[in-house]
Amino acid sequence: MSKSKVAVVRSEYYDFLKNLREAVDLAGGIGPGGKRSVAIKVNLCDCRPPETGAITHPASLDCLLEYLRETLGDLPIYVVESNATMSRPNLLIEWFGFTRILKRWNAEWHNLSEERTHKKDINGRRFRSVKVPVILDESLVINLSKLKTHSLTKISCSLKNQYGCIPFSRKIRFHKFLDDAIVDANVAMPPDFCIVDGVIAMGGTQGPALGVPLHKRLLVAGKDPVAVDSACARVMRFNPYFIGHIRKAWEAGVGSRNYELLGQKLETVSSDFEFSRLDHLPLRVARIVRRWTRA
Amino acid sequence: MRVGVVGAGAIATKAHIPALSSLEGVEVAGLADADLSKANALAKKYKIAKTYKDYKDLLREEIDIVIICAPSSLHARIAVDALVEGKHVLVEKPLAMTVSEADQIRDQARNTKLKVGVVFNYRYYPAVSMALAKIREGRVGHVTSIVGVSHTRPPMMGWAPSAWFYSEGGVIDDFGPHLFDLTTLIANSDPLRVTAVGRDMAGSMGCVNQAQVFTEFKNGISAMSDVSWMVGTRRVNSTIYGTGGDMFLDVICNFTRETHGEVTPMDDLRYLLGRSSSITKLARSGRLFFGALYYHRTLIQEFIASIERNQPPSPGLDDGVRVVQICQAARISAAEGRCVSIDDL
Repeated sequence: MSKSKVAVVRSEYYDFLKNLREAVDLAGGIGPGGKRSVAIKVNLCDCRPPETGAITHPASLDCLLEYLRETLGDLPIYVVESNATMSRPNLLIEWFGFTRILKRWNAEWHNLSEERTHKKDINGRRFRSVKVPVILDESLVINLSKLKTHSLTKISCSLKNQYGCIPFSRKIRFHKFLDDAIVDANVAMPPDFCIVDGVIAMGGTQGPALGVPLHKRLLVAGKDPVAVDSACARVMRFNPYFIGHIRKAWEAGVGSRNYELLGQKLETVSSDFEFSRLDHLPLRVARIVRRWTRA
Repeated sequence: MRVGVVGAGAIATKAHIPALSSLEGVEVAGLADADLSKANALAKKYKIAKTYKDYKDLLREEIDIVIICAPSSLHARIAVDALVEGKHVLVEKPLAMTVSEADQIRDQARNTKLKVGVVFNYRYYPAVSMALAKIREGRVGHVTSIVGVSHTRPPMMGWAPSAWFYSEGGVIDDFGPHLFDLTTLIANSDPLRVTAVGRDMAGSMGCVNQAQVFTEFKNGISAMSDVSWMVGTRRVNSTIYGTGGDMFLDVICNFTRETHGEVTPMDDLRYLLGRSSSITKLARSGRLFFGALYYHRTLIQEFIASIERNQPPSPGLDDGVRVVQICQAARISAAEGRCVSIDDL
């Protein structure tokens, strides 16, 4: 069985397009794969400006749209995100300047919480079925996530961003079993290509919204979300096996942890993301106690 | 390098002359002060060959650099004279009392192509450069505002009870320049408008000894600076707020603290341990007791290096001018109760 390809390249926002081309080419390229539209899942998790590393940077979306117009021509492109407990993306795309970028590249904004859905039976780890927006079924799904730490799941990259495709707004209710919910979302709505923007990443223990903005100058890309997240975990100096949602996604067959790293070498890109295990310990203890008391 | 010092007051006695004496390859060639007995006493202690009553006699000697430690109102006149005589100039803060005086120095420096540095020694605390590097790296996102505090005791105990401190702008021109310099350094922009409130909290001191200065910068950053002789504490700190968190910079304790998101008990514990550790390190190295005076040596070394490499000194003339703009606008604003635009100065 061939290994999944994951590309890691150095980038800044001013040369993002050039580096995006390089990363996508290394990772095997983006093709329409018989789909008649493209859906880009961005990350608009909270009302935080792009320079904090919390949300998708408009510059990265701008470059991705330019790249897709170059390679896929006039194919309809949808930029999608769903409501979350702390976020109303309909406002955020206006406030943070995404609207004019969509207009420039003739792309459409779709809030997945307001889209037509159908029930997909998955018999997953937590959910028997998941409501899937129809727009995702019909499109090539490109996951444009951020390289971030997360107070609950340690890292938040492709797999966690894909969890945001669940149209239900109060997703905080799933936090009790977040790893399982992430895996189920990825089983129901697997991304076709993953791009992780780590030019301005987020570290610390208060991610994914309130962590430390870190200028890491990185771009990670690949077709396999488990491989991409495993590589991202290594970049952030975590062992992917001990990140619940990566291990469980691999077990569920979402992707492979066996990958070939292309571009930069891991030693040159891996660095400290200031994730204090001491700060994270009380949260872990609380989750273990909660699980134990529930059982 | 042959250096001449103008002024034998407290700052020359406590900081400049000891720093110069400890530097290799630097000779203090002369010392000028209107009070010749004071200059003679200091010259005897530090084995300085010549003393002068009139600083112009010193400027005519074969010296490379003039360090101006005279009262603030004399800075501009002495600096211009020194530049005319072909000497590089290092001026104690503030560079001048008014923008027009600072412009005279700038014009003269341009004509003669000589270096002018300003003594903003607080810049040399390691915590300041560390904080600046973190801010430039974007760890607090885009800087939106700066809240600074500069509280010290009135220049009375331990310093010469010179009357000029109390007649020339008070605390705004005494300790304000250090804070305004840090603020402009962090904001990385020129000041646009200044609004200030100044009071004489003693009642009859005859000058502003407590002031709040609100500065708007051209890049949209705003800064509130609280300068006081009357609070009774000794602190120089700044909190820098950005879109991605905030950073507390405690200059005197040489310590920075970042806050992102919610403050947890672990953050408080880390703050206490970090601050205590920083103070202990400063105390063990002796720097805690000398405070900012310790960094005059580094500043003079850097100024000499900039002359040798023919590079602009840092802090230089432009830094000094920005601070003069804020000080003058703050004095006018406090006196007249209105917002003062820098372009109107």
